[in-house]
Order: sequence, then C-alpha cells, then structure tokens
Amino acid sequence: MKRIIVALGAVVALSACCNRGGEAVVIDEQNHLNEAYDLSYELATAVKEAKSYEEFKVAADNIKAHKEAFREQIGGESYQIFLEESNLILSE
Amino acid sequence: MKKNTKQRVALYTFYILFVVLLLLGTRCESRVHLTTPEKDVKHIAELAETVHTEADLRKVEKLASQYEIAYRKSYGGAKALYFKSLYEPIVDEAGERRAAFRAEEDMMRTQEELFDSSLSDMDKAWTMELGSEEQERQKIAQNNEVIAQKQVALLEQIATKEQYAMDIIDAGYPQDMLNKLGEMEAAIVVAELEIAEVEHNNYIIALANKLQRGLDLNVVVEEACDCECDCAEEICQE
Repeated sequence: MKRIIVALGAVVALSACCNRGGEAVVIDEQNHLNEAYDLSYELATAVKEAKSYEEFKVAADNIKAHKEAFREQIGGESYQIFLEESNLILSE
Repeated sequence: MKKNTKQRVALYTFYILFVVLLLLGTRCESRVHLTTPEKDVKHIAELAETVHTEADLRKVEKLASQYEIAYRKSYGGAKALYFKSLYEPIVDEAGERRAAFRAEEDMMRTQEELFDSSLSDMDKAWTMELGSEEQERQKIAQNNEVIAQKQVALLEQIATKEQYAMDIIDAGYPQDMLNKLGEMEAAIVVAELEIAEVEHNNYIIALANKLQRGLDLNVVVEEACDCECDCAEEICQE
C-alpha cells in the first residue's frame, strides 16, 4: 500500500513539474499587442536564421510554445497578429 | 392468485403513470410562456446578442420557432405572423454575426495551418539527406519534367471535360453522362493534387539546399519550368 502511495506521489509530482514547464511562456496581458508584433518578428527570424538543425529545433519549439501561449492566454486579435506576422517571415 | 392480480394492476398503473409523466415532461420542456409579441421578441433579441457559435444560433432559431408555434396554437395565424415579422430580422442579424465569426475562424485556421506547414517543411528540409549539388539539380530537373508531363495531361483532361459538358447540354442532361462528368472532375482534382505534390517536393529539395548549404536552386526551377512547359504555358505562369 505504502509503495503504491509513494509511486502515485511521484507520478503527481512529475506531472506537476511537466505542467510547470509547459506554462513557462507568459504573455504580458497589459502589452500583448506589442508583444505579438515584437515576439513574432524575433522568434520567426530566429527560426529562419538557424545555422543548424539543433538551432532550428530550439527556435521552432520556442515559437510553437509562444503561439500556444498567445492562443491560450490572450487569443483574439493578438493571437491573429502573432500568427500572421510569424507566417510572413516563415513562408518568405 | 389475488396477490398476482394486485401486482399486475400496480405494475400497469406504474407504467401508465410513467408514460403520462414522460409526455407531460416533454410538453413542459417545449412550452414557452407567452406575454405580448413585443415582450417575447425582446427575450429572443437578448439571446440573439450572445450568438457566437453555430449551436447558439440554433438555440435562438429554436426558441423563436417555439414562440411562433405557441402563438399559432393560442391566438391563431395572424398573431403568429405578426410575431414572425418581429423576430425574423433579429434571427437574420444573428445569422450574419455568426457568419462573420465563421469567416474569422476560417481565416484563423488557415493561418494556423500555414504556420504548422511552414515549420514542418523546414523540419523536413533540415533532416533531408542531400546528394552532391549536381545530383540535387538533377532531382529538381527530373521533377520539373514530371510536372510538365502531368500539366500537359491535365490540360487534355480539362479540354475533354469541357467538350463532354457541351455534349451533355446537347443530350439534355442525362444522369449517366452527368455522373461521368462528376468522375472526370474528380480525376482533374486528383491530377492537380499530384502536380502540387511534386511541386512541393521540389520546394522541399530547394529549401533543404538553401538551409543546409546556402545554395539557391530556385533559379533552376524557374528555368526548367520555362523550357519544359511550352504547352502548358498558362499553368506555368501561375
């Protein structure tokens, strides 16, 4: 019984850690419109200018995480701007 | 024996009560409380203002229809028609609002797909194994030849289909010919998709060379297209 409880505790702790990792990107709610413009330019340029596959993967994961953060935390116009501006650079 | 009869009676009574309650429940659910058409239409307008999704719109339409039926049952057709004339513009406006939301959602979905496909293409390009520069140029040239052949075939398919459509008009739109026309149109869509797939392969090859080696092979793509596609000039220019 004790073992099961310990194992369950470990799983809960691990999943909590994973969730914290996923929530690392926080968008400034007061300035989200400017952040949409600035971050999309900055992150999409990093993806385009990666010099190796490893650099590309890091940059791609970063822009994906920000896209999800904009979608979940802000949505609406800022999310749309983030997508449009990113796409302009990514599909150049 | 007496006990059995009593049990049966109790059981039947229970069944009957259950059915009556069920019927009453359905009636209560669909019943709306009528006041005046002007007041009732306000209720619909309030709900219409919150329309965002397709389900919201259906809810407003259902409520309006329930009120209309209730007016028809209680006061007759004239009042129901008057009520309809009041709520119809409100429901239409809600429909327009929903259509605007839908257009926005579609646009957002397109942007999301473009975002994902751009990153996916780049991932493929970064992980693609490349041959020598000459081999890469050859791959693109070969693909261009395939594209040119497929475009010529596609133009022929389109011309045949158009001729067949004229034949259908002359024959008075028989069903079997219309079915065949549908099949021809489907085949054209498939051919277009095949061309797009080869073009996309070329794009990935060019992108892989650009990302991994800083080589721009796009010039070759355009040159090959100009030489090969004299029969399918229109598609080439597109």
